[in-house]
Amino acid sequence: MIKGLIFDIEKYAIHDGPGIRTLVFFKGCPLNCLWCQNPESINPNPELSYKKSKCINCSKCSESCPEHAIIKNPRNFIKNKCKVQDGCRICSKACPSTALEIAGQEITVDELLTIILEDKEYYESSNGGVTCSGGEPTFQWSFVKKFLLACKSNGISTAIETCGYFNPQITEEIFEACDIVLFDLKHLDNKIHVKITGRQNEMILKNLENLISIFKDVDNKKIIIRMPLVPYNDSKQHLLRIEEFLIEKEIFSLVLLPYNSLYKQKLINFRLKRTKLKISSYSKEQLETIKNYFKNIEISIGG
Amino acid sequence: MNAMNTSHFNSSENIENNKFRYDDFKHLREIREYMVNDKQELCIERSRFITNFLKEKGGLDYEEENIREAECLKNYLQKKKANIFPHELLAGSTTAKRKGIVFYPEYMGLGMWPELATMSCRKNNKYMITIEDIYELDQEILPFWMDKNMLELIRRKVGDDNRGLRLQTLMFLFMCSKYVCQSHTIPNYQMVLDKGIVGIIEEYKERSTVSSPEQNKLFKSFIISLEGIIEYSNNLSKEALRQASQVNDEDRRIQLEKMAAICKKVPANPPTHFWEAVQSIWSTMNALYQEQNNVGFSIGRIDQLLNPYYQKDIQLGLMSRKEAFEILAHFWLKIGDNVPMIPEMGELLFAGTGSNQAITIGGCDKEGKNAVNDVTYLVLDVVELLKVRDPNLNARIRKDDPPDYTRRITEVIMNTGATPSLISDQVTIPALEKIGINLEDARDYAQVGCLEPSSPGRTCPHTGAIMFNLIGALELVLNDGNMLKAKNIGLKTGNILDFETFDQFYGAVKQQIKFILEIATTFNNDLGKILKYLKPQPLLSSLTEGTLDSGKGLLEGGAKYNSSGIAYIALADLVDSIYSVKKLVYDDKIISFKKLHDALLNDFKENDVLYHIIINKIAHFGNGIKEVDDIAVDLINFLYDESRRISNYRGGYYNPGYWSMTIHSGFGKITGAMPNGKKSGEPLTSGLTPFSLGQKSGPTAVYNSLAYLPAEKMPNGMALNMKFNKTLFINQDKIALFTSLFKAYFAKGGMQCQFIIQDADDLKKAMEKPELYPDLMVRISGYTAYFIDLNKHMQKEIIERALMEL
Repeated sequence: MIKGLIFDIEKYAIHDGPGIRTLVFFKGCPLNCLWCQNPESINPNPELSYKKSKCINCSKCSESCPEHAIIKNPRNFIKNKCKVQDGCRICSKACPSTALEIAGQEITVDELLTIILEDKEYYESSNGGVTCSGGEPTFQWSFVKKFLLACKSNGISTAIETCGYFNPQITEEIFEACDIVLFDLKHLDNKIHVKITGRQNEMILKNLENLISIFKDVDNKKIIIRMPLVPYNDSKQHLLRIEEFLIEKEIFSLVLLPYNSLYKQKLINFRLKRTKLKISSYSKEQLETIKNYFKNIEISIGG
Repeated sequence: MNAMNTSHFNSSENIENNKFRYDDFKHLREIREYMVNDKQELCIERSRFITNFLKEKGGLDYEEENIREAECLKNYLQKKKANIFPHELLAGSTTAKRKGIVFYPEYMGLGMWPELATMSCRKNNKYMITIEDIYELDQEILPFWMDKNMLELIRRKVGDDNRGLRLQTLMFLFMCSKYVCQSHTIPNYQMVLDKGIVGIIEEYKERSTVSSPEQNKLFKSFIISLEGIIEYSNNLSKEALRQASQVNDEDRRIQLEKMAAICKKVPANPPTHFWEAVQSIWSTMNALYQEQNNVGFSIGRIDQLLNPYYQKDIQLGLMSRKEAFEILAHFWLKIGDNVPMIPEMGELLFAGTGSNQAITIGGCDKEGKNAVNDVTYLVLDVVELLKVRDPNLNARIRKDDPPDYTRRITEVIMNTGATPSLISDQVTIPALEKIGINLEDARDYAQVGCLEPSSPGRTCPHTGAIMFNLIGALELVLNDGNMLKAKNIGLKTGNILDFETFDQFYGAVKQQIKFILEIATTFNNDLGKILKYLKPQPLLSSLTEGTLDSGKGLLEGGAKYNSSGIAYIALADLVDSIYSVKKLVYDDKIISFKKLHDALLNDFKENDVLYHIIINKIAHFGNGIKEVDDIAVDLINFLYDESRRISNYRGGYYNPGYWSMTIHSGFGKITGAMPNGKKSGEPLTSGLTPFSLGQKSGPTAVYNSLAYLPAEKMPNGMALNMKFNKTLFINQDKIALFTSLFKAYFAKGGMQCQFIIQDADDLKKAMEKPELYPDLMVRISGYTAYFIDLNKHMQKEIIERALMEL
């Protein structure tokens, strides 16, 4: 049976798509954005997270680890001995304080659907539904597709959040499985795009164009364009280019997702090394100024 | 209503454009400031009059008790100070003070005796009093009551060795509230409006011609006490005329003359107009509060009571919506003109409580048709603007509610941060039917006290009769009949180490609960008999449907429906603890019962790992996990059967409910560590709100767990506190999601829910600088309190309760 690899489920999510939603976070992403808010989502394999602030120094983890990958406490961790990628969960199960947790849990469509159905009444009363996020949900498309179609056949509205970097051949399937696509643009200039995400933007823009053409004028289907707002793409010049680009595609609204630095703690927990960004969060005034750059499309801030 | 003919509004205008601000009224802000900020003064007027009366007549044995009480009440109502305060549109006041504490020496009055000199400078809820009044209480009033108050009378009846009395005095396992009050009911204001007091008197007179001598005596007492209301109202009328003759302001003179006419007419006669209807209710309330304590004495369905008068006045152009708003706003502020008297020790249990006079809006009519009306919206507007603690507003929620209604409710919750609390018709009406209330009467239900549903004007529900500490029963089982702070008070259920199976352990818990329940209800029934002698309540009896036909007083079971209410406290802690023992000791055998017990006795001090396993690895109630929630269902079914098995002293039965005001904090203080991770002295869970440290799945999971419970087995109501961070609701779309959330909860079968919409930062700031937050409201459990009135312990709890945010 096909299984998905997820790292979180968030219920009562009211900021990603319309209504009350349940968000499912899938592991694995082809992009590697410098500011990635969920850095634990990029690697398509399970990873071990250690929250030092929660640790009660009980050594249950090191006592339980059959590989001796943890010596006394997880601060002394020998990564290449650890078998978490092979499905080992012993230390996180032994940890009483949830300091050790594993991002990356295998789940079947039925198991996931059961969890989703628990909140069906809330989706119905609010025109909400389920949203697949990540990571990049198309990275596990065969599972995600099956899951979303199962949701639909249970009368649940479906959405995905995508970076747009997927095999163009699945575009039709996305259309079939999703009522809403939350499409994240990063940058229109290819060179910069490569620099800040590690990938070219050509396929992303092409996929967007295709999706727009299929979704266009279809009842109860919607594409919402979003853009993380980071110092690499927030120049007036680039934003005006975005506006022009969207108008050309007959899209007249954009959601801006301002960068925040909350992910930095995750980098520590997962022992991930990334380029340090010397940028701080946007102030209210800055966001107001940026909003005012746009004259012909509607801008909303947040998720 | 010509006196206030200054309106710019009429009923046909959109509700949206029809909201009022303080600036629209000359004096509303000023009156509100007075009611919120001014000092509360202890009022001894009532005590003085009833004491003198009884002294003169030779004490409690003067006449048959109903006649004695009626004469005593009438005598006082004749002399009660007739107050009309500056700019106010309603005549009369609960006490002689503008904002007063009623002193009831026959109930807990003596409990205040040692504190009389210090209560004006205690930390929370200061009461002001004059030296002269202290002197009079010390010398004249309290000595008379030393052998005549509830506590003394029960002690003499049952003897000091009585188990119920001992446990009651300890207040570890239960608390019978009859020391403090009976109240917790809704008088039949509909009857007062429809017939007028004169009309009601006529009915009793007529019936007297065909009744037994005993019943005649009873009806005579009803008539005497009802006459007292008329005399009081006449005095109010005279006072209005007196003030009118002395006032310089022409507008006020006209107003006072109008008020004089109104008080001459109502409540003696049925009102014709809106203002008259409101005054009629208010004058009647004033009188009722002189008969017995002002706790949980509720008003009922104000929108249904007042709408006919509102519609008529509006249609005939006699009154504008704005004028109605002002009258209703004054009424709202007047309702809060009295605060229950709580001795310092009681502060621990009932921190920050108002008098819990519940008002209910919305719902349906007798045929089951949606009954939301113009006054419903008027009430919401008033509550939104005034933001005051009392009265306690409850909104009934139905599937067929107009969208405007639920939208306005959400807005008012957002803007007040706390009120109204919500109750669902879908499950509440069947719950009432199940306990024998007919469908028509069940459809008419309103909330009493905190949140206890009751069919108004025809029930004697004493919904707050017993507060029962469930976790205390568990502590008794864990320690073979002992509590950590009191030995040999429970049933000896045996050494826990001898429980070979989970079922044996669980069975012992149930046995222990039954044992205490038996003691508590027996004691409550004993108290009821005392009450029947000391406070038979002829006035309230006369204003309750059923007494006319049965020829019996309220405490003899004369009401159409009779019941007593039990509030079971800390069900969530009990469920979690039982599940925890099941998993740790019996199913997964992670630890022996001995070791678990040692860890509890040691307050988890050397068992950090165990503590964390319990908090993080053992499921808790409120996460939508069936295995755990099933224990809650089983216990609720068990408690329903056990409670409904026991009859009270009025021929009714005990109804179980799940709410705790702030008592969970006090009961938590005296109980030790528990297998669910509650540490020694920490507060228990409030109402049916899940344990905050065990909540891991967000608000929908909490709702799912609560909606899974059998609401029809909770006829005495339940409280679920949901705390939301304000930042969740940044725009209209998100606010609409809040409405969707509670509607789905109720569609799934949820019974009740109330909210705290606050920033934790707000609360922390208020704790540091209380003077800057005099009107910061928080919802405790079934009622709203001013945050700064709470003790530090409660303030911390409110702050720490898990913030349900993303």
